[in-house]
Amino acid sequence: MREVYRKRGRSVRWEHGHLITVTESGQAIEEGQVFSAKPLRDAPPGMAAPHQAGEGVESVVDQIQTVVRSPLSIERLVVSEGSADHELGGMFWTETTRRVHLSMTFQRYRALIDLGDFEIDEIERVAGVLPRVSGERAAPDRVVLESAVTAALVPHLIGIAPPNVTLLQTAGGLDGKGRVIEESVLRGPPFPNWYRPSYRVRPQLVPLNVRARCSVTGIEPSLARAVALLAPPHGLSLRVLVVEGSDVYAATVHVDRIDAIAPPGRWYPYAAGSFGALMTVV
Amino acid sequence: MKPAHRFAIATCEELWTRECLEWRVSHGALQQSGTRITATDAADQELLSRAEERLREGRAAIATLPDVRARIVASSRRAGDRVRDDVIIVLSRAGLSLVTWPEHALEDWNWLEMCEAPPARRQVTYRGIPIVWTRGSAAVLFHEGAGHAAEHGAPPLRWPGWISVQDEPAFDDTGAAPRVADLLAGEPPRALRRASFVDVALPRMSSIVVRQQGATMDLPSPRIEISLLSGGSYEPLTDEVSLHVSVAHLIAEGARTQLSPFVIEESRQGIRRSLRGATGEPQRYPGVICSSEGQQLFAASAAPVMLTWF
Repeated sequence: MREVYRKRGRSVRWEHGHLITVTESGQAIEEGQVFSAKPLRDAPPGMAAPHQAGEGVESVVDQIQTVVRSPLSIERLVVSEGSADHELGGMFWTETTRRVHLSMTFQRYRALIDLGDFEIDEIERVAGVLPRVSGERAAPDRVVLESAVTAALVPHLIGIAPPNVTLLQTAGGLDGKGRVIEESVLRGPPFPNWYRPSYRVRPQLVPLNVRARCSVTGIEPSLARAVALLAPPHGLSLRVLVVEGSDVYAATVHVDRIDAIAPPGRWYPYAAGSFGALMTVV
Repeated sequence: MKPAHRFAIATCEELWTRECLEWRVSHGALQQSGTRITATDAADQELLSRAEERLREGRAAIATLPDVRARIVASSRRAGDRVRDDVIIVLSRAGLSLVTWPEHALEDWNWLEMCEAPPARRQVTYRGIPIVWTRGSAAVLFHEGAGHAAEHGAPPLRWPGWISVQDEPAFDDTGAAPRVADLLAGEPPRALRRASFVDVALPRMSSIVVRQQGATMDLPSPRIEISLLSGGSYEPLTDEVSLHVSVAHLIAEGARTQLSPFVIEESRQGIRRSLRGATGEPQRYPGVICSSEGQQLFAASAAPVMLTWF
């Protein structure tokens, strides 16, 4: 079987003080076990010219640079916006994306934030508490992971989630082969949908837009909160920034048990997409 | 002020496991003016032809290697009036991998075969045992401990007078003349490099050369001999280096025992204090794929045999 996929797009990205506008198109072919990709000079009829994108990028960069100020430092900031037209087997679809990657530092601490939109409220929150970090402490017995932390954890739960937690692929949109993404319970491979982050990458069956569900949804407001990642998740170990009353400290949380998960909220670009939600862990 | 410049690149890549399983062609060009970069996938036919020729060299180099798993990446780039061709081959075997060039592919493939681990390997704690860095592997120690530290503006340390570590680039992706940087003196790499036509050019290492002059070194026993690493990192917030050792042997009482992979974690000061000696001319290390800032760049590496003791 021979499958031909084409993509045409435009992106605007701010990185290292530069604004980069990229216009490109490409074609990928899967034939048996062989995958190939190359630029496409002539887009097929039906594939639109690249859309304008990126007007908001510099504005978001300005906002973030205003919020993340001394004594904090911006170690790395990448803000991008893109639009792309896709074609596979006579089917056409369009996609727009927004991404923010920020690592901000204070003394020997680094907070990592990845967003799939340009709402920077979480950046403001973390930038507000990170300068108050007082050192390293043992993790509290019970802690509430905030949305951005949960979203990074959820993809690591696939296949090992405890019995009281259900992992779900969330319905909505089209996958990397133009197929409808439908709701499904995720227990392990094979997964039903294709992930294709670039035409240069061989598509893979992976869970998309993952969320976690628990029969208990109530979150105790008095518990300590893990508000940001201080390092990428290492399995079920999370190095996080904890706010407990007026105290702010760094801790490593090993997730042994999940007691409650609030309804899902924001979408984040972890793995092939995941939803954040308040989550009480032990 | 950022220099205005044009840059173009063509890249051909193939993944082989007995047969070619993946191939990719990529090309494009950018124009930079100040801090604005406009990039398209425009083809420079001369660069594309040159990259295809280099790809054929890579393909020929792996053609005789039995059951090979290899990724060949050939590229040709133009910045200003300069053109540069590259071809590297990533060879993988039994969980080990290295980066090499067509002219060294057979030699390095045979060496990887010799490194295939026996079923039982010994575990040791590296501290307290002299470590001899063979086959140019000390270049990785300084890639992280001197090169990346300099990129992040870490203050220079008082290194022994017998050692020098330089980045010696052959090309600058903005078209400027490539210039040598003294990494131990804290100079960041002076060549600006980018992985592709969609990337910002950044000061990145191109070719690390560690040299010794007037050092001495005895081979202690017992000792650990390191010959291949699978990765490393420098943490600018703590000034600490992590090195993932994939091939090492314990030499003791005339026996040579392969060790399980282990991780060396030391501060930059700890590395400086650990240096005990070196011998000989710089030896070619297979090479390093450097992945910082989201751009994967190959850095050539060479170092003499070196002795450390943590």
